[in-house]
Amino acid sequence: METQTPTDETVEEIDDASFVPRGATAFFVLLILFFATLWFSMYFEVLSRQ
Amino acid sequence: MNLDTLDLSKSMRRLLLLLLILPMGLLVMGVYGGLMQALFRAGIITSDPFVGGEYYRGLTLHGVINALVFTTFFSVAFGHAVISKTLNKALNAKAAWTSGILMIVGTVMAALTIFAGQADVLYTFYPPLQANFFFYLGLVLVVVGSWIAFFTWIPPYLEWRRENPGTKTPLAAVGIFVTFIVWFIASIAVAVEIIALIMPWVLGWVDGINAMLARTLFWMFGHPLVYFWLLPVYVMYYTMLPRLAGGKLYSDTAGRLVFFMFIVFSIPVGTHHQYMDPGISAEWKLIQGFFTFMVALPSLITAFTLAASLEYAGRKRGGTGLFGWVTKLPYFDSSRWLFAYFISGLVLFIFGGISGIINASYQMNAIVHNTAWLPGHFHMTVAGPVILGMLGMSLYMVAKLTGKKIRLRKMVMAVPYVYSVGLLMMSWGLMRGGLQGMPRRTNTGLTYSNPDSALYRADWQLFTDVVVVGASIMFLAMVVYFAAFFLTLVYRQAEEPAMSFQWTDSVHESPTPVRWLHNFRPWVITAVVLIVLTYAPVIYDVTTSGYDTSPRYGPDSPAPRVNPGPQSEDIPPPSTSDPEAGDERAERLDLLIE
Repeated sequence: METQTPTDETVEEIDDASFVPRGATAFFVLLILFFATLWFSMYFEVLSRQ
Repeated sequence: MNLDTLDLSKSMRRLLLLLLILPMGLLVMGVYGGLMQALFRAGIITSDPFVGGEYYRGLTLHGVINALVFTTFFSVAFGHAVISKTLNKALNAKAAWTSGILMIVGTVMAALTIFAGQADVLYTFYPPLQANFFFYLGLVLVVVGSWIAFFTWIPPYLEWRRENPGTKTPLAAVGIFVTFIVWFIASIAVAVEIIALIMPWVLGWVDGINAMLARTLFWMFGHPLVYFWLLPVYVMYYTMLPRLAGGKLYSDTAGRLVFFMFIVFSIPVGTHHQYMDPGISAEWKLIQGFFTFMVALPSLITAFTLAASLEYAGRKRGGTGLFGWVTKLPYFDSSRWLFAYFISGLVLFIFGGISGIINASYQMNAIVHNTAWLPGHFHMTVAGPVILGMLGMSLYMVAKLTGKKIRLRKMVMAVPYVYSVGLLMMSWGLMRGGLQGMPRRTNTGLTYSNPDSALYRADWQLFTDVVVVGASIMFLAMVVYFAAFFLTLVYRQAEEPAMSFQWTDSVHESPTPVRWLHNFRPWVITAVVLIVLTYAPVIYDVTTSGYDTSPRYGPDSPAPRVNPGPQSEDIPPPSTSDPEAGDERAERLDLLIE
């Protein structure tokens, strides 16, 4: 970022009002699942040590 | 959207350069100290080959410079620039310089005591470990200096509010004010710890110190400190990253909500660092654990909002399908090299965030407490998004403030990716080792990583080796960064110096202020009430738990220091040649413990 000005390859026009972040929603669901997997793996690690 | 037309005065530009360049010089030592830590712990070195010094001296230097000095200096410099540019207001240069000079004097004072071996107490400076008086005084000056910087922003902001009734405070300014509100409230606790508990004890005015109370006050400051590190980077994520990616921020309101939530939930959480400490009742540890989960909420909102913003940018750049936008982001566009610093930090924060949630889970904490897992976790936060954001923005600001072009730009762009690979390796090694019991804050090179020691753990060797490889990769990436930073500084000027930021627009933005997200006061009052409700019982617990005060200790011996102080001065030093003296010493120590 020398100027932070997008110099870009903008190819698509997006209507802000109708933009629905489906990909971000899917990403967020996957993120929560990932967090849950790690958290429960630690949880079972705790149980295995009792 | 460019809001700023007023440029910083020459005096302010000089101050900002000083605040950015001086800690960067110190960071060279701090980063070097980090590599040495990995080599010490692996048993590759037993003394620093270049600057000498013991393990704990290096660890103190690494923590104080990287986590306290560099971050505070950067945040003040960034805050000056953001407040001045977003509000289009000149700041009080005299007050700003006073703040800067105090911070510099304090840093020099603290650094000299560390180099002199008078402050081997790590960055947490837990009593009853005791450092030289000037170490603490130096830290106080750094904190007070940063407070003065914060106070210089309030009058121009109030003036801006009067001049712009019914206008939303720029999001970046909201973020900076939240950063320093959290910092100010939290650092009152550490100021009380240092001034009321530690200094009288160091000066010999009192015989002992309530170590539990000191630890409690430290963590009342120490965990919000994490958000003091993180919030300036959140400002960059919310107000610069979306535009840098070629898009817009998905929701300006979400950004405001996130920042205000940090005021409320950042501070009543510190006791989760003390789950294993005696003297604090389990109920209050659990309640503060609950609030720690609450403070994860703004970060989860941030994860979604930034992902949506990046999706917007990716789709604008031709991305299709559910995840096609991910491949269209400017990861390797050297004209937007700062994107690499932000996106790398965000990826690292995924791992830093979940490992933090694990630490905050009360029972789960028992298997990671005081193990190498902890540095594995916090390096993925403070050495991940925090340091990468601050490194990127430091270089950007220095280039703008000096009117110079950034040197080695392609290599600068590659630095965060290489660094992140090293960091992931290092943290993996630390966390896996930690789960098997590898301790933190221990020179494992003398024992667990030393095949000649009876304590040698061959099953930990892989983890230690991976840590060394990871730390070496990080170090190499940092060498390239430092080369680019200082080359940029010494290269000829290319244009007129002028500080500027280009802020992002929003997809969803309320044209008028949302009432409950417009004023800081209700959030601050809620925070103070919550702090009193959650901390009053904890403070009561640690002051009435019946533990005696503690004499002075150093990292070189498990026995109290012989001087000064009447409690410890009659205890003989350890002796290997006189068994009777050893018995006498043990008896006196027993008495002391009783």
